[in-house]
Amino acid sequence: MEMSMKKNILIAFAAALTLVSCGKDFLEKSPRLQQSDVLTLSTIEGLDAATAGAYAPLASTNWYGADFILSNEMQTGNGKRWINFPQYSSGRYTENYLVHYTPNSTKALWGQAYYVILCCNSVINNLGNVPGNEQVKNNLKAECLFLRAFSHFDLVRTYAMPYSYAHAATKSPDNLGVPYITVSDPEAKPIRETMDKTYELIIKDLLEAEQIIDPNYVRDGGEDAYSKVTLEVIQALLSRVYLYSQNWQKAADYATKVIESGKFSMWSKDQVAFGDKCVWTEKTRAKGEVIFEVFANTTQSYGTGNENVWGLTCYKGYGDCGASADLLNLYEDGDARKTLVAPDDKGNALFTMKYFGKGLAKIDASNIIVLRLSEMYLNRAEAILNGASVTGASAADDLKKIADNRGATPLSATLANVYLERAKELAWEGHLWFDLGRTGRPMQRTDISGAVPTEIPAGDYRWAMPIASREFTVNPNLEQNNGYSKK
Amino acid sequence: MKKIKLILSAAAVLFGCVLAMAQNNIKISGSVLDQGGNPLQGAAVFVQGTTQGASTDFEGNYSLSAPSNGSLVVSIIGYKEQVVAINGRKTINFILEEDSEILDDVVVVAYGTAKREALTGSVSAVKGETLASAPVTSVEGILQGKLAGVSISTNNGAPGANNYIRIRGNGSINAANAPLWVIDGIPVISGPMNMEGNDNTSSALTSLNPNDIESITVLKDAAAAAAYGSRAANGVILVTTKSGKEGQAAFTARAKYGANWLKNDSGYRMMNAKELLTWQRDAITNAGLDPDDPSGDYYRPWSILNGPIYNALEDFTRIGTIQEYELSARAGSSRSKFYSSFSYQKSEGVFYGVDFQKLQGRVNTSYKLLENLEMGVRLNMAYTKSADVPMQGLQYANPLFAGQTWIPWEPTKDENGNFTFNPNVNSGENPRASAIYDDKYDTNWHINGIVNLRWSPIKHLDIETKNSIETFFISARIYYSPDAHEEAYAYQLEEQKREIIQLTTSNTITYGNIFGGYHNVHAIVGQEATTYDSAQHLMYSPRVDDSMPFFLDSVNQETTQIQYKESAESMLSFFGIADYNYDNRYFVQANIRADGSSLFGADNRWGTFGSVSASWNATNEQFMKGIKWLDLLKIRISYGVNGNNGISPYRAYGLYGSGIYNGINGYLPSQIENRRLSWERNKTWNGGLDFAFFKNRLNGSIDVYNRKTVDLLLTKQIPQTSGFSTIFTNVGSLKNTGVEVQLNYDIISKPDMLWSIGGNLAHNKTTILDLGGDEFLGTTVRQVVGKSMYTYYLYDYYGVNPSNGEALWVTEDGSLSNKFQNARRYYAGSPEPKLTGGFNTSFQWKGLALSAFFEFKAGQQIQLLNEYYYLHNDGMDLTMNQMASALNYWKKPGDTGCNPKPVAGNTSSSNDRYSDRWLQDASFLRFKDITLSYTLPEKWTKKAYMNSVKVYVSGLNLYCFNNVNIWDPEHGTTGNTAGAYPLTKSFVGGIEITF
Repeated sequence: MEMSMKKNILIAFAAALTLVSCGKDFLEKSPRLQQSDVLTLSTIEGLDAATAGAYAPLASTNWYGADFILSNEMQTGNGKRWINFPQYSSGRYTENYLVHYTPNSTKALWGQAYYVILCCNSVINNLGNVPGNEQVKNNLKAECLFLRAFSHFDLVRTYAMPYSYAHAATKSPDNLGVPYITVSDPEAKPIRETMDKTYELIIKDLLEAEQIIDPNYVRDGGEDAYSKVTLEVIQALLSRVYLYSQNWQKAADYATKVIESGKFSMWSKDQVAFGDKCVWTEKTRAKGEVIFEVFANTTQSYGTGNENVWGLTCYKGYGDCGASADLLNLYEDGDARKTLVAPDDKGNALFTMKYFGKGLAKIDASNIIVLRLSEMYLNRAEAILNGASVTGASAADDLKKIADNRGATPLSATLANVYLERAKELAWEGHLWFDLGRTGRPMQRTDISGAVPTEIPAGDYRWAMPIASREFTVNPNLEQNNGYSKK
Repeated sequence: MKKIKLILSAAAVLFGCVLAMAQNNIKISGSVLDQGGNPLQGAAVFVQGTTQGASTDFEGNYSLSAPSNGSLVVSIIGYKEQVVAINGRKTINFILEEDSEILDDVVVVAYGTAKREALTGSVSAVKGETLASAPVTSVEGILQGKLAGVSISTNNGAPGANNYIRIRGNGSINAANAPLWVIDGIPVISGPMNMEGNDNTSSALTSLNPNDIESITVLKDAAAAAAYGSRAANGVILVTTKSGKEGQAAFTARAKYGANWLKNDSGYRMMNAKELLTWQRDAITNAGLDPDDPSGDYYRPWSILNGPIYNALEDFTRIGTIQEYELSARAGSSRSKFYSSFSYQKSEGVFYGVDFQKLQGRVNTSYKLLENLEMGVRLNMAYTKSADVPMQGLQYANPLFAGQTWIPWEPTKDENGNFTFNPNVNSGENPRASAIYDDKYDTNWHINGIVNLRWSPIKHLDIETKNSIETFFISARIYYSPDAHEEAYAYQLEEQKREIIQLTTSNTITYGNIFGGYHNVHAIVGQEATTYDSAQHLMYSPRVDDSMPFFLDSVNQETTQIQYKESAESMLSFFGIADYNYDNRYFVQANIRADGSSLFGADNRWGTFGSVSASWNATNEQFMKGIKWLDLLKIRISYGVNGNNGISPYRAYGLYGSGIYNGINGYLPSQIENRRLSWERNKTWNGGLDFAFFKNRLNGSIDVYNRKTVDLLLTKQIPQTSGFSTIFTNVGSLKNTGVEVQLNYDIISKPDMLWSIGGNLAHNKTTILDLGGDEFLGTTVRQVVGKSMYTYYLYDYYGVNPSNGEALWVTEDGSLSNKFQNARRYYAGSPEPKLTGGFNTSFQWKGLALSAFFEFKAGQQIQLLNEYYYLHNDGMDLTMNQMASALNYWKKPGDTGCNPKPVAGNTSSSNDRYSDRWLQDASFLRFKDITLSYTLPEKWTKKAYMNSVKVYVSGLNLYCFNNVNIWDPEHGTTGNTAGAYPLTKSFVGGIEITF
């Protein structure tokens, strides 16, 4: 009795001790309501969702959702703060209008773009470990390669001097681009690549994406098929990147590939003119020219309230980002695009009509067009005038193609005219500042309000934005741009 | 002084041992029991005059060889020594009498008990007697001001509210600062348990009945707490509940009734109607406007005073009540012990709508299955219902805020005398209407059960397993009635359900023996494991049917929202404790504990902690024997490393959250992985001195410590090129240094009369050493390198400009400016007290006892930023009543030392929240309680078949000496909580009858 009792007691104690002996599993308590990265990145479904997620930050107000477009317009003669009207003077976009940035008040794109790069790297670097159809995996990889290149491209356009300037420079920081991140590591303290190297890496990613993507691939689901990476989206960006880096022949070739894909068509004069059928009003937008756009919806990863492109360029929102008479005066009468620079309901201040929302009644959003067919014609015309040749294409024809569809007089085939047509066509789409910079022209404006600079000469330090001071305190390897301090 | 005798007797024998050897030895065995028949383990049984001896095992048995004509001496701490002649007997059983004089010398420590004399670490204890006399309603209340270095800050006077306990200051910035509570050997859940949206901050410990507690021990330094390694960084509070006692069964009934009301000991009040109108008219005139112009923005004619005048604060408050009833019983036999209690408590708060009810029951039993096998069950169940009103901020729904801001000439009731919910002021909220019609409460079922099994297979060895389940089932309900809210807010219903289950197993093997009469060895090895799971559902509907305000089928399915949250944690630990002492003079202890926590990164889950400590009891040295007036002189020193894992779960994981873009639900990285995330570590040195003089009439202790926290869990900046801006990691350090003194003195110590005084004093200083590269963290209340844990960063207010009555600010270059935007900001003060402590006195004469207790904190400041911004607003907002102190304002050139002149619509920011104008010295001395009790003479009670009858009256928080212009000087650990339920003062009377 005594012995068997003792035995039983021993068993009971032994059981209690062994209950918890498998320490490793016992201490593994992973979250179920948020996906762990290990789980997300270990299945093709998880990688697919992570790829879909990588697009979302593009719509943030630090990027296409507001700042990236609006800064670039307010830094040029396209934008104007109508400060005489208190209702449009909330104080937003003052520094951008002044082209006055400091390391403590610089653009927030840096963190946002590198976040997308992290999203992309996580997918790209894990695809190899996951079983699945090769083409399915390649399509995801192509999307991520595109978004990685695209993010670095916007970073280098913002935080470095224009390509032509930096390419010609021989010493840092004048010749620098941005850190090109292919492995996102919290411990890393990366250096800025040279401008040439940055473009080389952007093009490398885009070429690989072009090569591996299924030519007919469009991501499943969603509300807007044009907010997704396709073969033509990759090619269209390649045309622009080659244009910026002055590889004229490639710029023309890739523009041609997109034009000849037959998937896009020019908007007509009537479609462009502000009115019931206007393509600039979201609900009547015929996709026609759209190659790639950023999806905007106030409830989906987009600035809430009026803090978005719509609210800042609309007299019903903040209206801090008005349009200038300089822009209006570019257009001849009859040019449909003239109707897109219009006064507010009281006839006081001018505004662009390119972000007219999906209905003007309440707070709203417009998708932000990033790449479209007109740009391809303009890229090709500029490339041809710089020496590229494309069978069956001419700069004059390309310029005429634009003008004819806008009710404007076609301009003769000179570089100055290509620049002019480009300014007219792509106004308020975030191009002018970069186009002036890369072609070495000064920024000039006459219709201004307040004490703002009327000219920024070519080569001025302000063509590059400062990198934020917080970044230098954690990364000693980083160099600041000329004209700015690290603090 | 029994130990000394024991040693002496052992020593004496060295000389007489040869003599002893010559005797005729026989084998003797037997048991040593207490008066209750419980075996006494570790009792020393010696042959008088020899070294021959043995100590008793778990069952209290001994056996030894002794001369048949000798005598046996039995000795154990806490019991009177016995000497018995053998007279040839082979079995001798001892029943030892408790020695009440030195019973206090045994304290509960980690995984067992210890003689106070043997302690090497810093330990403070409160014993049953002290507990029973205190008419408190919470466990934390018992500790308030009683123990040196244990600071309890209350910022909430609501019944059942949580208290914030800090042992030796704040040791962490992001991880927990609260101590670990261990009840009957099992770590339990503590802290506020109220659901989101409710304001009652109901403490997890309310379910513990203070009358059930036998003793509380606070382990303050690393050595004492190290056995709980991982979670011991902020100290450990050990609670032991009562057990049955062998002998006559006792049955106790208790009843208590009390009343309480808002306390205000510094003359704080709001303006009356006439004062407010005078102030407003001046403000309007100062703004260049005419208060008598009916078409003006501010029409405030004197005739307003002819209309009805209201006192909203009176309308919103009442005399609070507390009532408590309890039955308890304890009994025991040689095999079993039983203790049980059942209590009911009901409190009505000072504010309408604040109600608290508690039903609690406990059963503690143990039974000896075999002589060497005991099983015990301890089960506590409590149901609490905490109804509240918004009290944690400054909104008009908060009766305290609304009552203070209410304009005296604005009605609180309609013409029928009903409380309206749509008054002219206060944005459509009337807290009194809400208290009547709205639902806002938490209910909480808290069950805590422990089953233990203790087995002593051989002598000197115990094996014990303790297994516990602790559960909370919490429901919350918030409903906005259309009788208390406008259409836009009415009909909303929110319900939450949460269940928490914590499972713990704690298994130990204990060995204790004395070798050769001098070498005392005690060792424990053990293992512990805990899992914690919490699951929570939230349901919300913007509109339900007022006649049946529940989630019925008819609730709009489109607008109803449901949310689910969960979290899980686990911990696995292995530990060892070894004690050794030589001749009760030299003591050493070592602890080691390895803890694995699921909260940390896969590479760094395990942490190893430990301590070493030593003490020297000089009184037991031969050369000290001659000093008659010295009873105890002991020096202690310890060093140890403890950990802190008080962070939310999953912080080490790389996480993806969901993000919708283009109508597609994608995943986005939401947290960066940190595989190396690990324990915050506390490294503590402690030195101490214990002393007792004059037959223990004067006794006390002094401790000094240095506690350094390294590997602080902080958010560290990283390059954004990584995709993230920050990573949660181990970086930075801080330290706490301090000194603590505890003293007690028995002024009169006679059988019929006892008068004693006691006190404790503690000084703690926190210094932040490194924040991982950052100069400071936080905005207004900052952590700054080189400064204390909390430092106010405030605008520098100079005073009033005597020439024009405007506010003046000190600028960066030291000059004065009337523009707030030129004001400099500086580090203005800290809410951490420099000195804390308390003192008490008690007087007993026959059955009559009077005790009083004072608590104080000195050197801390509070920043009443939010209250003053509204209630001292210099005219910014004329829709709010103002503090009476605002009446002292500039009226004519030359006035100084007063408030700036009020200006209607003031936009000068003279009342800015973050200015040092609102910083006040919050030092206080609080008359915490006074209790007068009378125990009826036994000769009377016996006639009524009662064992004892005690009646008492108590006054709590009767007066607080302070200079703060607000209800109470205590405003939480950061000194800036706003709108919270102030402490109340109360009178309680009660009766306690034992049958």
